[in-house]
Amino acid sequence: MGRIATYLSFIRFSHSVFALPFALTGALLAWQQAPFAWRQILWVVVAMVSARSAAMGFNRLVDARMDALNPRTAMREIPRGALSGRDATIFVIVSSMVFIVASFQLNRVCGMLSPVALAIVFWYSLAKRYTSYTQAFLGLAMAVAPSVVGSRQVAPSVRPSHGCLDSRSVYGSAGSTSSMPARISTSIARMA
Amino acid sequence: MHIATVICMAALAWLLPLGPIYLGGVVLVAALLIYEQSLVSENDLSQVKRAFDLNGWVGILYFLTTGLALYVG
Repeated sequence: MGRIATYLSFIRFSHSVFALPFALTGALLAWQQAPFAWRQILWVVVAMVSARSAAMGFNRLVDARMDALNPRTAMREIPRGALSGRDATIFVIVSSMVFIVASFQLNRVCGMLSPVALAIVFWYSLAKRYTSYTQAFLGLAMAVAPSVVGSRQVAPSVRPSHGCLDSRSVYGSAGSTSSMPARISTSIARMA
Repeated sequence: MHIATVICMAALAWLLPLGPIYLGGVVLVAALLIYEQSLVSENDLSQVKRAFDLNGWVGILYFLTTGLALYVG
């Protein structure tokens, strides 16, 4: 039980509830244009939680060395030795595989797009090394929730409403320190 | 950024027939974001965690009002 708690703490599992409504809102909108099925809710939730778990795990993994040097983050699971780098790597791989499987359970298009979603959420962790506009990429990572994990998984066509929902998520999560042009272009590209 | 968030939320009502319930939800979300902004200032970051946690409620509120707009409104 202690081991499970360590993993849940590692990815701040309880915070999944923050992101889940955005994915489900995307699904709600998609169900206006596609038939509803209960099993889709299950797979949307599995996809959302697994994608977020993979992203959080990857973030902790690549930042572990820097986290150890920062008093605020030194007690995170990898720096304090509660999880090894190998444990974290396996966790990220398994979470990613669960996400891909869940995506294919919804439809083929989403399954094919799932590596793109993973690349986006993983890129956030690396972006902070190259730009001070990291929050824009965090916003983009959250924006794929309603888009890739939610609406596209239910109705696999691209519609303007999806882009609008994406841009809402990008702006909403990016807070106050990000690049407006990057986010606008992202949103417009998605709406096109 | 939060202003842009609200604009994008409102724009969704322009693209889809979501009705007054949805727009009411957007107004509530806007109010929540204004409150969130008021919690933190350049000179006082003590409420950052509280402000961050409010984002969770923004998502839940938006989800519920969108659901109501689609299935009740």
